Amino acid sequence: MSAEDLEFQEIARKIRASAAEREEVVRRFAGDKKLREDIRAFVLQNKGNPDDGVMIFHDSIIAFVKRVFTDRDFQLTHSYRPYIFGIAKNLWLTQLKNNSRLSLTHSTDRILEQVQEENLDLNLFKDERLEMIRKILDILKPNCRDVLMYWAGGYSMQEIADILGFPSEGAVRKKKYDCYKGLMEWLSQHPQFLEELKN
Amino acid sequence: MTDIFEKIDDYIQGKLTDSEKQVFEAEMEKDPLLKYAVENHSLTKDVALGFLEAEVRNILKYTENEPAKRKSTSWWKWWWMAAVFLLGLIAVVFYLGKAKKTTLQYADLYIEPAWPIQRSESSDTLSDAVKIALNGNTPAAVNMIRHTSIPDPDKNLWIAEIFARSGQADSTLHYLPDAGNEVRTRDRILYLRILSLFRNGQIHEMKAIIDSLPEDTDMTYKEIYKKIRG
Repeated sequence: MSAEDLEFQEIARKIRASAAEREEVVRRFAGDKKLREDIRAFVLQNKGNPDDGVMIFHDSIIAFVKRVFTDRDFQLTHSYRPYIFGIAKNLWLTQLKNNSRLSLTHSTDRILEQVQEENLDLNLFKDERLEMIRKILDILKPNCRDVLMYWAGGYSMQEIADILGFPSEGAVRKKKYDCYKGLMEWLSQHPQFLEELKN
Repeated sequence: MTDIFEKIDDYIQGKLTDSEKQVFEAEMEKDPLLKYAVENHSLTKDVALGFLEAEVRNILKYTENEPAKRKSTSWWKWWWMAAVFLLGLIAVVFYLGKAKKTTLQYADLYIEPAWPIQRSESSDTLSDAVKIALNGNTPAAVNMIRHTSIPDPDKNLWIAEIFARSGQADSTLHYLPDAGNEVRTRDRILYLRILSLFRNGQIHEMKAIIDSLPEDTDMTYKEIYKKIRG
């Protein structure tokens, strides 16, 4: 196994293991000056400003963490940097295209095609939508956040029990039922929330 | 217990047998919440993954604030040089206090407990579990503690300690026993509760506990609570 393989295995383990270990990984990415500078330079060279650079840097890290968290088969055999940089290009060029700030040249179109092949879930929550997520977090019972998060990430009940320290698979099942029911009740009483998300 | 919601995935993916599908659809007709859940299943999963995103964005927000703090240092420095020495000193002290407050984080407030580690080669399961936890394998450590013969409140407290060390606030709160009357244990339990609420951003609830702390609370913890309350 190469050094890059080992590095990715460790990053992936931490992202999936606990909030504290995820924090360690996210801080490492956030402090990666080369990655930050590469993304910033790319955004600036493509009609963006420094604030856009920071936004795309953050969004790319988030998209990477979400990908690793939800896809346990996902593997990287090289450093995380080119991959996150690829996400950043994808995010920025898509945004430019949507805002019609750029008529894509042949070369940028090709970049976009390449990174889109990765089939990333780039459905990110921003501004008002993120505030709504925070509002839901306030109404959830203790431990629901983690249980629902791992459930949505495709983890089995046994895996969730192991990660979150529940005594058994059955205990997680019960907790997940209570949390999911609570969430559905809240969402059904606040229909505007899902309507906003659909838009 | 039967969790009808668990069948939603199978229903949507067409994995239910004809008879199971009939039962499920009949259940949907009776239960509007189930129907709503089926109609919004994919969005609900997006919302739950949004919790992960909120967590990561929060960390990134903190990391961006750190360079901002350095920038404002030079501003204060300029004033310090321009003002009378004493006034400047007061200003810097004030600034440092404020800067600490804005970047206060879980790791800054967390204090390790006196872990029950036996240095001898005895086969103490609790001690072994703690060693495993300190090496970063929280799930294995928690499992080991669960199988020890120590009383449940102690067991739960050590499990909570291990979760607190790895920053899993929800799990810490879940396992924390009642504070009880023994002062040291009581103080530690209240501290872990306050710290976990701080981590979760449940500031209102956290302040309520701080405001009703027993008078004889340990000074070390009191100092931490002062920082949190600002």
